[in-house]
Amino acid sequence: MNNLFKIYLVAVYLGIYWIQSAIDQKIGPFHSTEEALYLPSGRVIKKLSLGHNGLLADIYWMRAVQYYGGKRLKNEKRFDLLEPLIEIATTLDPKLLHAYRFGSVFLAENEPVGANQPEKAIALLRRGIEHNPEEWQLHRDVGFIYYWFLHDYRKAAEAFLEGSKNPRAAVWMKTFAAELLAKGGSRQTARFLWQEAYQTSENQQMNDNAREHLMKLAAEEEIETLQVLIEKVQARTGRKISSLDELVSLGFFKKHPVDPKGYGYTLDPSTGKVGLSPVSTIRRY
Amino acid sequence: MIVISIAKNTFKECVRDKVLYNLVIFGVLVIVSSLVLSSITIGDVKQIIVNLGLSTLSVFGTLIAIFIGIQLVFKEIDKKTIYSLLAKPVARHEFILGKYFGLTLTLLVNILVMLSGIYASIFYLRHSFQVADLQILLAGILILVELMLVIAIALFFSTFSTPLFSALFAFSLYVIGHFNSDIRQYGLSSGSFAVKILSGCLYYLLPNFENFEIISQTAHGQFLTTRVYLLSLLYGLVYSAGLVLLAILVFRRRNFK
Amino acid sequence: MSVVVSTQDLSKTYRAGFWKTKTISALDRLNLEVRENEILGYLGPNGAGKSTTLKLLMSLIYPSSGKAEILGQPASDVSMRRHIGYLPENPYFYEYLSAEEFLSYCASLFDFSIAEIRTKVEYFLKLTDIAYARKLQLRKFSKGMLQRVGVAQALIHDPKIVFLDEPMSGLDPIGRREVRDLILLLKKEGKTVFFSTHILNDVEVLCDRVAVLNRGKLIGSGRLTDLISQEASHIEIVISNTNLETIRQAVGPDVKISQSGMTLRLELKANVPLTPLVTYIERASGKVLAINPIRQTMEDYFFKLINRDAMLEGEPSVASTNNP
Repeated sequence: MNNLFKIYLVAVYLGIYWIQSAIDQKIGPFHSTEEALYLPSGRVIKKLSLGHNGLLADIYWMRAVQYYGGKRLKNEKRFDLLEPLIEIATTLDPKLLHAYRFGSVFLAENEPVGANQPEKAIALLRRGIEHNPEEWQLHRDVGFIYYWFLHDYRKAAEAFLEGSKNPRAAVWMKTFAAELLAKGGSRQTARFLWQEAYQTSENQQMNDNAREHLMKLAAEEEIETLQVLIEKVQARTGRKISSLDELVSLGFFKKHPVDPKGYGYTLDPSTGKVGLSPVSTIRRY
Repeated sequence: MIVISIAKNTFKECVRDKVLYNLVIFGVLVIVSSLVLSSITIGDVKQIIVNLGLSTLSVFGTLIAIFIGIQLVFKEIDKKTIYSLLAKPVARHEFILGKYFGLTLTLLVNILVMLSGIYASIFYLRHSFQVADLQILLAGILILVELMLVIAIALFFSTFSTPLFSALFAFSLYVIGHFNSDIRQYGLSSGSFAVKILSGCLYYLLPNFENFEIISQTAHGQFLTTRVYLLSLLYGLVYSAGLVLLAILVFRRRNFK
Repeated sequence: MSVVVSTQDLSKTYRAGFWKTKTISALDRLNLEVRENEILGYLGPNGAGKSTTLKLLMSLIYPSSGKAEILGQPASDVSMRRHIGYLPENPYFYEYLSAEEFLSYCASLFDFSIAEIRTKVEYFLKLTDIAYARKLQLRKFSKGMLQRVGVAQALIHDPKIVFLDEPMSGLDPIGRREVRDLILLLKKEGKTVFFSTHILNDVEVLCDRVAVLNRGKLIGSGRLTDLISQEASHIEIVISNTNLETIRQAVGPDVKISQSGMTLRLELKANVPLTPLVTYIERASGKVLAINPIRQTMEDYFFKLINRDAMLEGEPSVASTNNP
């Protein structure tokens, strides 16, 4: 008789597994996070949390990170739930700095790296500044986004200037603001910002992101250099260069020029334009 | 002293009731989280450990305080063990005090073990301590006082009500006690004079658990001012004393059929 | 002999019914005294109010009116309880404690030093013969063992007065004998014993005085020797091997004869000469198995009181097995 019950028990657990899978198929694995769209505002959740808002904030931020990661793994381009999740997390705990800082990166970055919503990123950071006025790095993040994603150099300069007023702020922010106002955006300033981000990143993911941007900038510069070189050579020799290997045989390079990731640059004979190898993993966005 | 004897016996009862097994679950939670968290999330893991640790401490502690608290008096009456106890030179108020402090002692041990677990996790993560980490201990003490208040509520109901109703009342008071400021706010913004008076009275009468909400602050290394901290401790102790007194008054008048 | 326990018009009423309108009188104006170094048997049918009386004395419940005093103090006095011991009916003790732990806990509620507590616990574990189970948790104790623990906790502080509520209930004959011996021992040590019971036979053997309770009222009390005559009023003869008619011829129609199997039982007045009857029986080839005096027992007295009380209340009387 006991054996019969044990069999029933196994059947029940198999049944649970099967039913849950069926539910997940219908609803999708982001079930718990999707409810974020239908939840009342973070303020209500905060009240209901009976003093455990800190933990709930951590949970919602964790969900935001996992949501972001899951979407990236599938190479999906839309991150609809990202902003609501981060909003709830930061409302539950307005001092959750890393949610503002990393969240703004996830929101601002272009597809497919991020949600391509730099305005929302700025709004998030502004809320962060409101609740954490002593955190100068939030101003730096605002400036960065205005500069890099919105190309609004004036607003970027304003943000850097605002941040520099904090005695603990990085020294370069004030002068950098002045330079931006004077000269606008340039590859030099861009590289400076990403270099700074790379050196101060507290997290592997941010580190990698900054490094990708730097490599892209370096590649762009090298492509420009190659292009100018080709034009000069063509002007001098009067011959059309149709492949970069010709530059090697002409003695300009020892080997075929490669991008920072080691892939060879290409020259399109029809357009005459230097570009990245189609298989290169350097970011194009 | 008799109160100490009864308290020690109550502590023994809780331990033999396997109450402290909740520490095992806690230990697993904290250890697993400190090992795994850094790969699941981005950001300051220490802050998450403090949040998780203190929140779990608070939740488990509250559950124990209510579920054991409502039994403290009821069980003795129901099982008739109180007959032989009160026939001895034990005053009724000594009985109540002994029970109260016995459960408080149990929760104190609980909290100390849990705090050690939190500190151990932080050390595993950071391999050092900062001065600010002392705030975790202070937060733990405030949570203990909060739990003493919950015990007092449960104990009070236990002197005259069955476990089911005691649990319901105690839980309700605990939840409502987190909305005191909203009640008062409602009164302040209301036009009706009666509502203003009523909400004002309720604000001071109901136990205000918002005074003990310090977990997320502690996690960020920002704490209350000394003054507010001490006043919050005092609030908890004084309010608990009031409820224990009430419990004593009710208990002294009881007939034990 | 000084009075150590006394009640004055002690009463307890309960409110019952859905709207708490009905009043039930559990105890009605009890006036009772217990003298020093006496054993008082507190009798009554189930529900008479015996436990209620004890609980009032222990201040576990409060009187609706009237007073109770123990050793000159009101029953509610806490320090007086240093000198009294109480064994509740169907005692329950902390299940999670061992016998040793429980007795130590009880002892710790008095002003004993740790060494004294240890000695006393040892002594009482041995005295009540539960030393072999000292480390066993009370939840595993049988009823008889629990009763002994109860006795131990009632006596561990050497009280002057011991209150026992139905101490024999649920015990086997060996246990009951032990409790009886214990009560007699307590009296020898100079203590006062107040015990309630509904087993009349125990009372006959143990008590100096007796009080009978019925339906919340004291219906009789007095010294045992006063209530039950020492002299026999009748004699019982048990015969076998002869028939009823033969005997009837000898004794006449007024004598009560009952038959059970092969034996006959006669009840004769005590003043009837026995020798001629015995000779007659032997001549008829009968055998005399026993000759016993019949005294009025506690049972007789008890039922007499109960029936008188019933008559006053207008209720049917109760028969006992002894009297027609």
